[in-house]
Amino acid sequence: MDLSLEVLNVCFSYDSKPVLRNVSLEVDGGEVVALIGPNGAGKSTLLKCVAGVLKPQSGKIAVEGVDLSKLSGKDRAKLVGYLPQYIPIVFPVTVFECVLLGRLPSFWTSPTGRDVEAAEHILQSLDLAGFADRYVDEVSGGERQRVQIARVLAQHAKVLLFDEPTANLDLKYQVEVMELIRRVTRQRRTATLLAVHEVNLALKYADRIAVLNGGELIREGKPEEVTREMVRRVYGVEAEVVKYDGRPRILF
Amino acid sequence: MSIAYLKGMKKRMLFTFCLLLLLLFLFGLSISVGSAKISFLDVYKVLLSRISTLFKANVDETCEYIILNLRLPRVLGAVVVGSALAVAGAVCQAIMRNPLASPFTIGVSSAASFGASLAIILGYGVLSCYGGGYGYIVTNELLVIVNSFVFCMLCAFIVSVVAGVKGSNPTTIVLCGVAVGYFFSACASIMQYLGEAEALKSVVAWLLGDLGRVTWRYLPWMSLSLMVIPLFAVLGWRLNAFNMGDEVAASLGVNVKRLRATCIALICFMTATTISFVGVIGFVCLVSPHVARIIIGNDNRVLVFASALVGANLLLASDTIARTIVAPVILPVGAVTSCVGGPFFVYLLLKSRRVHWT
Repeated sequence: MDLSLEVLNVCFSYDSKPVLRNVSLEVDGGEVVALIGPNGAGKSTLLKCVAGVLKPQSGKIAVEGVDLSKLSGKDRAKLVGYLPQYIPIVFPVTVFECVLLGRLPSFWTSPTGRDVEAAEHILQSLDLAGFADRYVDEVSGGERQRVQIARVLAQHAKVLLFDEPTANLDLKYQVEVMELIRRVTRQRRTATLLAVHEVNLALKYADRIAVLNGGELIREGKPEEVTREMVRRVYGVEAEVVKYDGRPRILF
Repeated sequence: MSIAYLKGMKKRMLFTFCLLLLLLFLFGLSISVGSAKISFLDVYKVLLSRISTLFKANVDETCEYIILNLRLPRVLGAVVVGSALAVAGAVCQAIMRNPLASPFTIGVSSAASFGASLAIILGYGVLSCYGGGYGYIVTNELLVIVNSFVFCMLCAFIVSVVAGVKGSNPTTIVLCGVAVGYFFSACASIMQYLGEAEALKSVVAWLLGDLGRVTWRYLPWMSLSLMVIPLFAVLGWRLNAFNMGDEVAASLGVNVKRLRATCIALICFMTATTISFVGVIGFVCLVSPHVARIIIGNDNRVLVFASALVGANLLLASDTIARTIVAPVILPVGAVTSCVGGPFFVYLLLKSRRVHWT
């Protein structure tokens, strides 16, 4: 079977400043891969390239063997769903309308009955049914993030991309959001790629870790392969790697 | 919960329909009031008799003449201008993600003023080059219209090109529009500084906006602006995607730069085709979309129509007041719109339970 997401030798630069250099990465269906690395390492840029927000200068990005650069924006959006770090909502809409927006790649001008049903189904499965009529700016930070995840899931995409999904959330919501992401990845067999700042969240929830530094993918492997030397090299921080609950954690 | 959504949709449609009924009522009312008293029902009788031979008017000829040739063009003009400007404002706010954006904040009105000033003060315009050579006389009025239209579209061109190149940041586009606007208004000021007193008076009169300039000859051209409204309604959900930011819109398959540049060009076209004929009538385009937002929410597909109807009602009501309040003097409709619309909008802001923009 084809790999779900395949990133091959992707290079990207803003003007002439290279941000990604020959990045290659594979993510299987049903797998959560976490991108870690310091600020400015290129994590968000890589996600934006896969999401079609940015166009890489060279390299190939394919989903189930289909080259994304050969697809129209709409067809690409049926394969790849993306949640950016910051969503500037100026004119608030209801939770239901927000989730329905995820169906945009599937309809021409207006959502059909099937799109409305799909949105309803997603809201129910994410325990958001009670919020459907609330406005997105009226729900709490954790719920708002869940609404956005619902919006991405409504696309029925094969690849899910999350940029810092736990930023600005308290511990309870961080755990909740990460568990939700892992759950939907397993249930829907999606290839899930996320950028995470909090190394311990990545170690706890990801199946594999990919380390970006200075635009290059320097290491890729199981959480167990993260070492003290690697943390020092990438973040410049002295940390202890310990085992907790069968998985590694870092203490610093 | 989808039932709640569909119910909400129905409520919005119902409200939009009510606005339409209100407009039909105001339409008749506006035609019936004025120096020659015409009964409210006679207005509809005459209009219906023109639409279909099934209806007989039985109204005297003077009355019919006043309705059809003096008042109807003006009232239709108010509806066309009000709705076109309101839709332009609604779409401008959506694509810029800015509740303060309107075609006037991206420089169109200043460009129009400059074009008009140029034509009125120097008597020179884009058409002058052709006037003599092709053997037809270019009237002063036509010169002003064509000139202000051309300068509006020039402004549209500059701003859309900037949007196409630097499409990633709506604030850049708004700032660029503001700069273009300052440039044109400075040019217009220089014109006015140099102009003769008599010409200056006409410029000021033009700038204040006057729906009395609408005639049957111009109405078909002005109505071209309304053709864009259904197109925006079709694009409604794509405009909704802008609301979540350019990145989400792009990831949902929307070509952000292209759509934004196209919308700017269309917005400027709508504004240009209306204000070139009647002068600068502001405020409708800024406030009508917000009035509609407060009542029906932010789904652009419905908002486009609701804004159009709010704008048409607002301008028609303002013009009726402008014509009658100190008759026989007719006040400038642009000023009256702001006087009527401003307090009404503040009232809605105070009364509204929640904030519809952040």
